[in-house]
Amino acid sequence: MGLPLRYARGKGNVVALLASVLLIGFIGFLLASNYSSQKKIREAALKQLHLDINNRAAAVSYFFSERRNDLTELTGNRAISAFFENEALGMSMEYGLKASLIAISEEFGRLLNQREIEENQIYTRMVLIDHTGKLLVERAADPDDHLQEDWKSLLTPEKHGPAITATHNQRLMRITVSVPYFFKNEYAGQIAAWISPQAVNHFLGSSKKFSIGPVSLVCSKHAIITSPVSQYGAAALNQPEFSKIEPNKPCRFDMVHKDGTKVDEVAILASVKDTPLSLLALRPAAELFGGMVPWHLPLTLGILAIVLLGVTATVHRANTQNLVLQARLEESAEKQQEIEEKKHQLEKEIAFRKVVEVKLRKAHEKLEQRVQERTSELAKANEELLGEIAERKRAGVALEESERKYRNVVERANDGIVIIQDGSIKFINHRMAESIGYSVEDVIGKDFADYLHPKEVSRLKKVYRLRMTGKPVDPRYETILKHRDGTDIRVEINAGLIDYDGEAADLVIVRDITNRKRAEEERISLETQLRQAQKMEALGTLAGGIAHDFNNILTAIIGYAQLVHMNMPEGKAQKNLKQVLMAGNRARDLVKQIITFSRQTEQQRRPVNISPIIKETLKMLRASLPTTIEIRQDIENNLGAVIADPTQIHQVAMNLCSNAGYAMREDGGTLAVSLTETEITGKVVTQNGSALQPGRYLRLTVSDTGPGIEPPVVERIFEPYFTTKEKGEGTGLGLAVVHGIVKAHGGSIQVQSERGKGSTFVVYLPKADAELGKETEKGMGPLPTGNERILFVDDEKPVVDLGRQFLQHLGYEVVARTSSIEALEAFRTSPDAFDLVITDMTMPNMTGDRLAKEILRIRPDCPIILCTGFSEKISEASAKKIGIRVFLMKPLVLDQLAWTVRSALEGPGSEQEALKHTDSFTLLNTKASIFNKGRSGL
Amino acid sequence: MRQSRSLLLYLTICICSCAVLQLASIASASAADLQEIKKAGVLRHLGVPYANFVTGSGDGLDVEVVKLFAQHLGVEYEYVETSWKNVIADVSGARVNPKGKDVEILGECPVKGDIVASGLTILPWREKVVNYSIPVFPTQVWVITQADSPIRPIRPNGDINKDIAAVRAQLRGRTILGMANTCLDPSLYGLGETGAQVRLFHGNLNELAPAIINRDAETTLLDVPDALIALKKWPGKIKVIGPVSPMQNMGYAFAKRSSKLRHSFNNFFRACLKNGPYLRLVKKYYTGVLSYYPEFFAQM
Repeated sequence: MGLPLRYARGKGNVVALLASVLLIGFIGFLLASNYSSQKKIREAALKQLHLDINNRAAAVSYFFSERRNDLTELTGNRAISAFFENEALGMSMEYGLKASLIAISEEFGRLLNQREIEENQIYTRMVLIDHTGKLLVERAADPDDHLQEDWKSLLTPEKHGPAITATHNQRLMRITVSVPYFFKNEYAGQIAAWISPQAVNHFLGSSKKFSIGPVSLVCSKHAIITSPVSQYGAAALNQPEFSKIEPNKPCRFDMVHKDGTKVDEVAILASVKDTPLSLLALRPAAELFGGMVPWHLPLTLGILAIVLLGVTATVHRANTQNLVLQARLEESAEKQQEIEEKKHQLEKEIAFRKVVEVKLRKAHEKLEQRVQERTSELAKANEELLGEIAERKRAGVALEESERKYRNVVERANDGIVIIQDGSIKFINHRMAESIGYSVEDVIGKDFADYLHPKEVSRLKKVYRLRMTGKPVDPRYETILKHRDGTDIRVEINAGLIDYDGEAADLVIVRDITNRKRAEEERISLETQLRQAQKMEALGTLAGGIAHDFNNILTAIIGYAQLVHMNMPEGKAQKNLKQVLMAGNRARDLVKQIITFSRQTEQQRRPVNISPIIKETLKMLRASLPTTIEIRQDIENNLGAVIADPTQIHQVAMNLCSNAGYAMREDGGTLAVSLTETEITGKVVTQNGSALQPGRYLRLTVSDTGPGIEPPVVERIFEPYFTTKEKGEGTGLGLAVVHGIVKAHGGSIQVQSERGKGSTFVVYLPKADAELGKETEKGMGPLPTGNERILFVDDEKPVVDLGRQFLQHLGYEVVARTSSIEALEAFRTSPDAFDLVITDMTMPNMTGDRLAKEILRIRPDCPIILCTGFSEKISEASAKKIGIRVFLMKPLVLDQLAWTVRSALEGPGSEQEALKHTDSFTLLNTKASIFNKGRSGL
Repeated sequence: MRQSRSLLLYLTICICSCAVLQLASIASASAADLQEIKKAGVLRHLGVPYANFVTGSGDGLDVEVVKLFAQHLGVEYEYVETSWKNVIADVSGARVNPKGKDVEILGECPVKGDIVASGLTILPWREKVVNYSIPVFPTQVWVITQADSPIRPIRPNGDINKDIAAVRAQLRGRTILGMANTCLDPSLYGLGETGAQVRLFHGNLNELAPAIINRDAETTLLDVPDALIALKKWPGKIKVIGPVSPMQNMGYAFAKRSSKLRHSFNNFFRACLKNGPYLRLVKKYYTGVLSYYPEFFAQM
């Protein structure tokens, strides 16, 4: 123990020695740094003083610039300009001008009161002097203070801006700011203001942000205007050092105080911009740098450090010995404590082990108890498990029963049920499989698209894909499936997503709607036919109205032409007139044809010579076909009759020829129409499935040289609404109607077409056994004449004139009337004077039928001819009932009129003879007969 | 000649005496004196909006003075607006027609107020009908014209009569605006005799200066308080030619029988002068006049 202690002591001494040396070195460093920093502080203080005095000089400069602004603003004051204006107008002080000066004085007063610093007015006086130096306005802060001054000295006409001036003498120091005033560009006077030195002093004192303390304002001659330099008295200014101070160069010298003591002072001077003034800062050096000399502090600190080192060494030595003794005592005490702690630890461990043994025993007992409990729980669970197995068996049986029921439902459902997963069919019921002609085994696993109509494949694949990706898709839609035999099956689909074998699948319910769609199409067809019928009815009504007017017009044209023709010598003019007559007759025929065609009536089948009908159709069509289409016709005249409705035959010919024309509308070509007789000996089945019985037929052939028809189109060409025309060009009903008419007449229609070579339609119509009556050549033989007296009535004067001339030409005596009332009156006057009455049907006041009634009432045996253009107001039955003998269809034609009149005069039995000689139109002769042989109601 | 003059004087005295007697009888019938005002509890101030005396906006030099007077009497203040045509009738109860310095009594009318305070100039004819307070404000009637008018301002001669003559000499052939029943009535100064074309203005007194600027007439009459305001308002647009009247005074008018009220007012006014409120009000509304006629206010 002794060696280590001594060793420790020796080592401690060396350390203490080293520490002492380091301490001495450190103290020396501190003293040197302190001396250096003291010097820097002095330099910084001077620099700060320099900076502050310049900043304050800038602030004072701003103060004086504000004063210059004050006076500059005054030069724009309205009161001052008003004075000079009024003076220029010649106003006198006594009468008005003085008021202007008062206003200026008020302005000065306002400025004096407004400008202040800490309640000290900046200006002590303001004056306005005219250009001659005469004082006009003087306003002083003290009203009793009037200044006697040489005002002229203030005038500065050569300057144009405000200026600061500073003057001083032993008594008075003053700063003024003045500005010249110009009226109408001529020097008019001067405005001057005195700035209070006290206010400037306050301004200097109010600048608290500067740390240099009070400063003095001095003028250029170093006259001190403001304190605190004045504390040294006026004598201070006389010190030679003071007068040597230059701006921005600090200097240090002794100043003698008022009480005679000398003070070490530092002075610095800064110029105030734009003024003749400077700022002077005078500071005692002790205040600026502090009272201590730089080396005083290092010396004091050095001595103090040596003393402290000695004391520290002595104390250290004593402390070292004490520490050794104390360390030994602490070491023995620690060992004693360690033994005590180990003993205590052993006792704690023994007690802990006893506690653990007790706990282990208790845990063992608890474990045994839990094993017993667990065993009993397992037995109970085993029993429950056996019960559950039995229950599941029962459920399995129920499930099988349920599955059997559902399968039964699915398989027997009227609708097809299909489950599609990953695009292939996973399930299909027998009903569905059968409806497309397959077995269930054939279809399972196949792509569902294999059974779709080709044109539906891409659409339904897209629908399937969208549904499977969760996109919103309409679950109901219609589509077409393909039967194994190639036929189309129109179905309605109702699809939705389901979970099938743990994955998403598409459940599709398929309903066959083929029959329903067919029924719908038929319904639409019927509706269209109904609409067509309604249109035709409307057309009939319209045509009737037009025909009436046309017939009246044509009556005049044809009739007068005939009259002229009769009296004209043969020659070129007569030939030309004949052309007019032919054209008129053609127009008449057209009108009749329009009336007949537009009338939708029940079929009036009778023996008909269809040759003229075909010819007339071509005649009508010629006008509507382009000239690039040539019409060739080979129509035999005497082919015998066909039991037919002439209107429908006309419709057949018109539709076939129109279609041919449409096929050649762009490139032109030849439309060939032939009508021949043929005999079929064996049973012939045509391409559309209808059979032709053996016998004699009239064969109508319509062919074109157009582009031809594609085979698939040929197959469907007679379907209703099937059309290859653009929208608006055709309804798709034309050929269907033709087919229907031909079939209804016991005939057949066939089509042959070759691509690029045109098409040919052949219609077979069974020939009738009945013979047609022979028609007499028109215009053959002389016209019948007479000398009876005839009453001719028509509201159209041209018609009346024509009728009169016709009848007079035939030898009759004519009494004509344009009013039915007048005609009746004439007849009533002398009923026996007339052998025949010819009356128009449509007349104002009294129609022809009423006139006929009245005449017959007067003389029941009077023969009456009723003329009409087109009228449905009177029927055959009602006409007979009235007693009218004959209908005469307008327009009036000479030969027709001649035969009709003769017939009416001679009575019943003469109609056939008349018919032979009249201008009958084959198509209409039964419907528009002059002897009401056709249907009445014209 | 002498006899006719005596006769004229005699007749004048008779007319005036009759007028005074008639007025006294009218006043005794209708005007209110101090006791009645205190009893009624309200002092009715008759005023016509004019310059800064009665601004029409509820204030003005005379409005504030009468308010102070009402306060002094311990009664409510009530402003009753009237017109220059009716102002004398409304306080005196007599309809009168001025005839130079005299008046012609036309009849009676209801009294509408107790005191007229509206920059009312003390005129001889008015003194026949009403009593005035001590003079409260200086005035004079000047001729004003446009700045570019060929009429030149006169050079003061030091003699007011010569100054007036110089002004009148320039008015021949000129149109001059005035206002009947006011101190600006040209007939009061015989301006018709100068050869000037006199026109009576029927608008507001405050509109006379603008009428000149608008060249409605070549010249107009304005009293000094109004002229000073006009010069300040329209500097360089008008100029003062000179006076047509000697110095005049304004005063507050009372009915002849309201002698106690008048007496009370005079005492009140003197106190106002002495204690300073009146001069403060003059400074507030007519600073220029205070400096323009310092001697008037110094005498007061």
